Amino acid sequence: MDPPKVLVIDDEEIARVSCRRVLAREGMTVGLASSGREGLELLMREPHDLVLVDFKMADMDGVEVVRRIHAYDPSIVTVIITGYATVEGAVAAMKEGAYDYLPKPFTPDELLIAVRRGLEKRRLDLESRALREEKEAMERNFVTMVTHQLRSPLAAILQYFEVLLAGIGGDLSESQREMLQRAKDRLESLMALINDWLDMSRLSEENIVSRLQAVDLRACLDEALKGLEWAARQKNVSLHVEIPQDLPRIHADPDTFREVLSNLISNAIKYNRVGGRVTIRARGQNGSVQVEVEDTGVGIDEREVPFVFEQFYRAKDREVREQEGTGLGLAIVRKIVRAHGGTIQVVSRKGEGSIFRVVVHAA
Amino acid sequence: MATKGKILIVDDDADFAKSTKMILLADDYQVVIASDGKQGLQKVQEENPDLIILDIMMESIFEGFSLVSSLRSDPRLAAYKNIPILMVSSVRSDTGSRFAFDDPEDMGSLPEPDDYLDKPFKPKELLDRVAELIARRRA
Repeated sequence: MDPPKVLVIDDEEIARVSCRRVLAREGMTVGLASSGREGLELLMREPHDLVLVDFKMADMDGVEVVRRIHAYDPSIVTVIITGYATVEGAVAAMKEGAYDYLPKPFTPDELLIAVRRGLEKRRLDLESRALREEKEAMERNFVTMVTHQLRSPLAAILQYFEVLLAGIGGDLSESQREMLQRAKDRLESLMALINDWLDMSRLSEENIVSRLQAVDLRACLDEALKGLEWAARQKNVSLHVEIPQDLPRIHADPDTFREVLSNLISNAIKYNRVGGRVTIRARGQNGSVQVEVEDTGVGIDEREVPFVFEQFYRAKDREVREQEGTGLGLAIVRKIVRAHGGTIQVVSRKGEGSIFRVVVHAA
Repeated sequence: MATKGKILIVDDDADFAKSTKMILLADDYQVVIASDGKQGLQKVQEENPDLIILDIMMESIFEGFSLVSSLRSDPRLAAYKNIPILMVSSVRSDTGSRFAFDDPEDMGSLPEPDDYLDKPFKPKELLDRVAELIARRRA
């Protein structure tokens, strides 16, 4: 390990030199500066573990030096050296981030005790910082690693099913094909569950808030619709968009808000009747924008309305259960909308359809 | 020409490599398999394929990318520089960005493949992309 580096900032030469003698004897590397300014400059050039700062100096007082060191790098430990008369000053320095103070005059042993204690604190600080950084890096990439571990085997299995169902492994009888198709469907819904769950766990309010910007709802909606037109055609559901030209832009994170729209519309298609309608409309209202997704589908039982946004909640209805679903879509939607500082509500009538209403701030 | 072209699959998942190989064989391609990046580089030089199908995440996260960057920028491999690369991965391409890490700094600057496909893919999807990439190169 490198020897600890200590910087002594004191305008009295005799004090600097005697500090150096004591500390160098203990194997420490000691830098000297005769003024606050010189000391700070030296610190910028060369990192130090601990700085001894004299309280009373001609150019800059010690409290100011401590404050600047702390602002530059809070992990540098500072110890203020002060005469008996200025304990209040020492307290002020501690408030600015000094770790300790050493009253003058001090013996070599007192100096060593203070310095060693400061260095020990520095070591612990650095250690815990390194651990924290390591943990953060792991957390950042954890979801990606888990995604890979969970998805890889599933992808390999699904790929075999694709090959078999395409007849590449040889001809299939009708019943073999049917069973393989079912097995593939079940695996795909497991994959969807993993995806939703990972989405849910990687969504962070902080990240969403940091990406909030003025977003054109129409463009965001177009993106969301891209992936859904096929599903709508399959079910012969027509999609209608009613957005006024002069709709204000919304204060949103484009990626996650698109997911809100796409989840709501995908539900509106999925739980619709064949040949039904999905209407997406928006309007501005005193500083906010209200977006509605209305369907003509199975509707939600009044008693179940309070629960539809809960994780893994799925309506008891047979028509709902028949559709593949993870029970996470609306929970994800609510989490995102809340991170936007918005609200989401649902109005529904059993057998007639539902309206999901999202209100977010205008930009 | 006996086959429609020679394709190198670089993937550490033997099952995935096998099913991909079956799709390609059924469509009259010739197929060579390598199970890691190092073997992949070696096969590129031995076989001089018309296309490489490359898994992004093998032993390490960056193995796939480092193969792309060697092929594209190592002067000793200049002869293989223009072989099209189709990158595949089961790590979902998240909203917008194709290769998702939460922190872009963890990604650094990475070489771009010619095309990208999420695993698993439909046989037709794969064959369309492969045909297009090979045609583009020959054009």
